[in-house]
This record gives sequence, C-alpha cells and structure tokens, in this order.
Amino acid sequence: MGALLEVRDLTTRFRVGRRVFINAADHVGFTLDEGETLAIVGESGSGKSVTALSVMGLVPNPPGRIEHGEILFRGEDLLKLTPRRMRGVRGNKIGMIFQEPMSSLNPVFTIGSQIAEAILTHNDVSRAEARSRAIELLKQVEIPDPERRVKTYPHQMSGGMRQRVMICMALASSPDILIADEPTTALDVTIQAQILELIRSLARERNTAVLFITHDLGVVAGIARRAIVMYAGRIVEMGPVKELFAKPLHPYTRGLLRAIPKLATPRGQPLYTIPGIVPDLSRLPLGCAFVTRCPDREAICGKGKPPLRTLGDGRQCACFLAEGGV
Amino acid sequence: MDSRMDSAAAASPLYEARGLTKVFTSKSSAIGGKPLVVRAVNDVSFDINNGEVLGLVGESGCGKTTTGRLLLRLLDPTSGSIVYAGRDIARIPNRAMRALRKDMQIIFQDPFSSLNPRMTCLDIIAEPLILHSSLTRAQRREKAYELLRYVGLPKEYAPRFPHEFSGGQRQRIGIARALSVDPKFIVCDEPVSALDVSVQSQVLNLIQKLRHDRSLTLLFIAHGLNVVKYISDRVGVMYLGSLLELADSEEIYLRPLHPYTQSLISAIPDVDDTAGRERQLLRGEIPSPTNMPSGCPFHTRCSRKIGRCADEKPLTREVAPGHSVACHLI
Repeated sequence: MGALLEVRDLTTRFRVGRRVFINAADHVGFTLDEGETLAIVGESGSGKSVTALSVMGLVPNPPGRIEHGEILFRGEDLLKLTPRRMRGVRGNKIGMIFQEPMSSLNPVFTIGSQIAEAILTHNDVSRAEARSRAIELLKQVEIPDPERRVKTYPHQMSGGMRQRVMICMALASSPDILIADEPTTALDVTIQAQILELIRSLARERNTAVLFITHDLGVVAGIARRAIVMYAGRIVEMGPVKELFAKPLHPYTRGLLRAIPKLATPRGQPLYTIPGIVPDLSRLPLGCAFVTRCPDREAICGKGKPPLRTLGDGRQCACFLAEGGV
Repeated sequence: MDSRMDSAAAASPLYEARGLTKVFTSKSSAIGGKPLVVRAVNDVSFDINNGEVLGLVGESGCGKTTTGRLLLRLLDPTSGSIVYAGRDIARIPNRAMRALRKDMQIIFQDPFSSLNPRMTCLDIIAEPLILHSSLTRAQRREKAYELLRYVGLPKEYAPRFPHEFSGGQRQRIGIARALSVDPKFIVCDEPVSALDVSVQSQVLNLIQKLRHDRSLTLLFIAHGLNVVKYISDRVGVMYLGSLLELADSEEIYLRPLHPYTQSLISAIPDVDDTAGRERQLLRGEIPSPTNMPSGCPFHTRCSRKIGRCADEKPLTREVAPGHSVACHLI
C-alpha cells in the first residue's frame, strides 16, 4: 500500500427534499501520496468540498450520509472507525483549514488560547508548554511579534493573519495530511500569494501531504503537481497539472481553460463560453452530466455515465470520446 | 487600430475627476476618544473618455468601490470636483442630480442581494422606467421584454422571482435593469466576482456586447486583474485610497512602473503558470485606512523605498504619453 490516503468509490448522498436525494460526491476515487500536493478543482456544486468533508468525517448527518465507499488512511478505513477513534485522526493526523477563517475561530478567546487548546487536545503537554509552542508555531507561519499576538482576539486580525492562525492550528499536531478548502478565496491577491507560498513551504519542510480544494485554475497551476477536475459530483479528469493544462482531455476542462481571460488574451476578443449553467444535482441529465453543455456530444453521451478511464501517463478522463494521452 | 478608440480619443472626456476625496468619520471605539477618520479616496484625479472602459483594480479597502459611488453621487465627495459632460456635479443638489441619474447606472457585485426578492424579473427590469421615462405601463413591459431577450434570457422567465435564477442569470437581470433607462455610463462593480468560472465568461461577453451595441462608457471595478485587463481600454491601480498608476491596459501589464503594480501583476495566479514563475511576493499587509502611513501610502511594503518615500507623498506624473504614475523612483 503506497498511498497515504486512498479514497475508493466514495458516494456521499444528501437529502434535499421529500424523497429527493442528490449524490454530492458520486463514485469518487483517488489517491494522495506522502508529501504530495493534490488539487481538486471545480465550480459550485461540483462535490469538491463534500469530498473533503467526507474524508474528515464531517459530513452533516442528516441531511448527508456516506452511502458507500472506502477512505483508507495508511490502509485503515476511516469510515469504519468509532467516533472516538475518528477524533484521534481528525485534527491530529489530518488537519483542515477553511475558506472563512473568521467563522472557524472563536471570537471570545484569544488566538493564543485557541492554539494552545489545539495543542493540548492532541499532545500530552502542560499549559505553559502549550503556550510557548503556540508562540513557536506563530513564528513558523510568519506572524510578526508572536509574543504580543497570542493575546489578541480574532477580530483584531486581518483575514490573511487569521488564515495564518488557522494554518498554525492545523499544523499544531504535525498532521500527515492538510486539507485546505478554498483557503485563499476570501483574501486579496497579494495576501493570497503570501498564504499560498506559506502552505507550499510548510508542506515541503514538514513533508505534509496537502489536499487543496479550489475553484481557481490559476491557483492550481501554482500549488499542485497533480489535479482532479470535478463536475456535478464526479471526477471528470485527473492527471499531472502540466499535461492537464497543456492538453486537457475532457471537454469540460477544455472549456474552463478557454473561458478564463488570461493575461495574454487580447482585449475585446470574445471569450469562449461554456453554454448553459452548472446543472442542478437533483435534475441531472441522463448519461454524462456535462452532455447538455458539451460541444462535442454524440449519441452515446446521453445513454450512460462515462467511466473514468486511464489514458496513459497517469492521466484519467471520464469521457466516452476522449482518446489516448500525449 | 479600431475606430472606437479613435473616436474615443478625439472626443472630450465624459468624466473628469479632480482631487476627488472622500473621508468617512466614525465614532471611536473608546468612549470620549477621537473619532476614527478613514480617507477612503484620497486626492484622486482621472478622466473617463467617451465610449471607453476604464478599469479600476486594487485590493479590499483601496477605495475603488467608493470612487465608483462618488462618480454616481451615491456618496457625496468631501472635496474635489467631478465634471460630468462639462458640468461639475460634485455639489449639485439631489434634485438636480436626479435628472442626471437616468444617464448613469450601476451593476453590483452580488446578484443575490441587489435584486428585490419580492419582485418578478420583469418588474425589476421595468421599475427604473417608472421614474425615468414617460412610458405607459404596457410600453414599459414591452421594453422590459426586449431587454430580457437582449441579455439572453427567454421571455418565459419574466414572471419568475429572483430566487429562481442562478447567479449568472441574476447578473443578467441586473444588467437589463441598468440598461432599461438607456444610460450613457455604467459603473460595473465587480460584476463577475461572485460567479462560477464557466459563467463569468458569458457575462463578460455580454458586457462587451452591450458596450459596443450601445456605445456605453464603463467604469469597470474588479480585483481580478486578468478580467480587468481583458475588458478595459485603460487601467488604474488604487492602493489605500490613492491612484498609484494609470495607463493603457496593454501598457500597464507589459510595462508596469509602480512597484505595487508590479507585485500585483506578479501575484495573479495564472493558468499559464505551471512552470513555477518566480513571484515577487509582497511582504506585510495593507495598513489600516484609519491609520494611513505618512508619505507614499505604499512605502511600508515597498522593497525599493528610499528616504523621502516615508515623508513626502509622491505626485502623479505623466511619464509616457497616457501613462501616469505616482512614485518617487520613476
């Protein structure tokens, strides 16, 4: 068993109305290696966050439920763990940071005591030790003047600083995996660049594997070697970022890449558009979920769900029409 | 060279903002303390030519949204002048302003909070016409249907309420509403930031289309620089209430002069970037606008600052035709 984390055939179902169920994550499978950074990219409702929450055992139940699948962490299925043992993994072996750090921090405690609490939960140390480790960790996430900062409250910090605190708490127990769910979406571009650089360098130093969830293909390019593209709950394409961007195999990936105005796009040239909108998961078309928006569709596409096929060079694509790798 | 640019260059500017300043004052957090003063827009001057798209970029708190609202007089400037079509509108009374409002509209960032949830799509689009036109009810509806078609929504959608639409569709409704009174000028305040990537390009194409069809002048505000560059003829870069650089959009990306513009461009995550380009990372954070640094607003984060940057605010100078910058080093 080489992979640090292996998700197999994960289906997470939500109840959205009387007798209406949606598969927010639908037969999702991938592996994450030790020290690797893997990006999951997709638009709203693509299932990227639900996949992350499923790995963390944080799917709200009801309305959500993991219908089937396995989540193997070092070969052990996390879905079979007791809640008590799962708590020993969550936050300890697998840390997580979220999009909006303000809502993840408790407004009435100082950040020092919140970091210390994270340390005390997962380590057998004294309060004083936890406190000095908190200061040490704040230094590592490059927060200036940490001795003073531990005494401040979340509202006294900027968004970028709060995200640094979240990273620092997630790293308090030296996890093997850091799950980052849109950690820079709420931040300004220059601050986003700083946080991305911080995650990159910390992951490298500590050999932490990162599962990085984002909607921004530009961010993917900067942070990950390998990426998964999700659409309507399913993985549509997976592969090394360089090849994936240079020669996308799935028509959806192709469309997304063409639709973004790049710095090199000439002014005023009409942008490529993917027609239509992201489908409602409770009313998916038969067959491939992308069929109604796909420019290349053929008769077969409306008949069944295209399986994720390996197309050489570590690339996989769920499209009936996609052919061979490079 | 396309004809649009030639005619834009020939005509006089639609807007001339000079020394535009907006100061917000709020109560201090300490009882009896000094009130907090925020200079949201600080001595900003620029022109918007007829028929052009001027982009404004900058990070949160830089004053780009406030600038847009000042131009529309949704906020009253503290000082400075706003000359619109040859007339200073900075201090004219609201009644006089109302007659001009027909010419200037705004498209908001969040299509979820800018549409009245209790009104149908058709009523939302037709509402501005009640105040700004002498059309009958039937004519207003006729016009709203026409706009609905123009922004790419089927007419069956007319009786629906905002919650029945996706974000991109709502933004189309917002655009149709802005167009209903046939404005000359529209402020687009982050119109695609809240949308999914695959929908953004649809809305951007729509904005391009209406701009050409209706020879509109736009102020396009966004923090996504790739989007701003794509849509704008000229781009202004704001930081802590000041306009640091203003140039043709190609020029500013090829030859950014201000150190802040340079790092801003370097920070954009770009999909062509898999090779791992060396980034010019900015250190530190944006200072609080309540506690503005002395001298150049950017000097606290600037890697090239010299002695006078901390004491003396650099003046805006035109360093090449159409390219102005406020920096002591250039």
